[in-house]
Amino acid sequence: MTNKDIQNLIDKYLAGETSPAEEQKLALELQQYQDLPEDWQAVSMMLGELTLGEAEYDAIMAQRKEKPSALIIALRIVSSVAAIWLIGLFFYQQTISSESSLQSNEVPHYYTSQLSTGSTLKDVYTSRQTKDQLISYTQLRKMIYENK
Amino acid sequence: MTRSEFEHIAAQLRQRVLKVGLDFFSNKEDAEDAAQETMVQLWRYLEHIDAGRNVEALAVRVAKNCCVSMYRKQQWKTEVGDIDKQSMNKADAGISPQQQLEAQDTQRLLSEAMALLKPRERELFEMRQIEGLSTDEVAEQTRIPKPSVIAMVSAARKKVFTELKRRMKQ
Repeated sequence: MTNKDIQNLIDKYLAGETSPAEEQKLALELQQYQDLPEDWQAVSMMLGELTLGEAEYDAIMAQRKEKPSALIIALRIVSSVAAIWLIGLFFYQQTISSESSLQSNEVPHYYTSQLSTGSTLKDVYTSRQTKDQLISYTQLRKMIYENK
Repeated sequence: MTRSEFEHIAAQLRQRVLKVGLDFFSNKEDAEDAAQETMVQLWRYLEHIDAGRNVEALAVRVAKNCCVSMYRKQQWKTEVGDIDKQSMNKADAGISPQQQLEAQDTQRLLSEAMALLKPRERELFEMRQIEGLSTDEVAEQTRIPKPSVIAMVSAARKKVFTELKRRMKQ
């Protein structure tokens, strides 16, 4: 803020037209000077410690919002990397499963043998998982749809 | 404001200033210290507080000042470490004796200058200056039209400004 800006703000202050935010800004500006001109010193006294303290409080809070702490930055990086890794792993497993099923046109008996009256798709899927017979849920749904 | 009037609203005020401290420090221990210091400051200032006015707004401003003061001390202690015991004592005191004298002198000059204001001017001046209310809020609370509030606050500020300059020259 230039000296002219400060003087304009002081004139506005004395005219009773400044907002509390402008008064805080003025208090912070005047605090930075070592040897204030008499007029400015008087305004600084009038603004007082309460306005200055409030201005500093708000400035610190605003600064914190702009700049997250090192811990938060680290946590954000770790969580981003973990999310990317999990997504990659999911697609990798999907690809592996699809390739293995495409290698054979023959539909293994256990795909359909699990289905009986009242069985749900989830029951079959769960059963397949426990028997270590890997097949994705999507593949199973596709096969049921194709009536294989 | 009387002591009993203050005690009546103290619990509610404490909750409000504790919230200011928690927002600032993000830990309950420091927030409690700031709230305690705020309540002590308000207690000391009690005779100057008008019971009919917005005490909560003043309490929040005092709480913010206490938070900043504590924060500065913490920062200063972190920078200095435990090298110099005398310096640590100085940090505990917050400000130097010279700064304390200057602050007292400023407060005395300001009080003397404000004594020249008419009661209504003084009331509006303090609402803007001490409670930190906006012109709209002052107009709403006093039911005085906004242009009149601006005119009266301006007159009050110019009187105090002129008187302060006169006394500073002496």
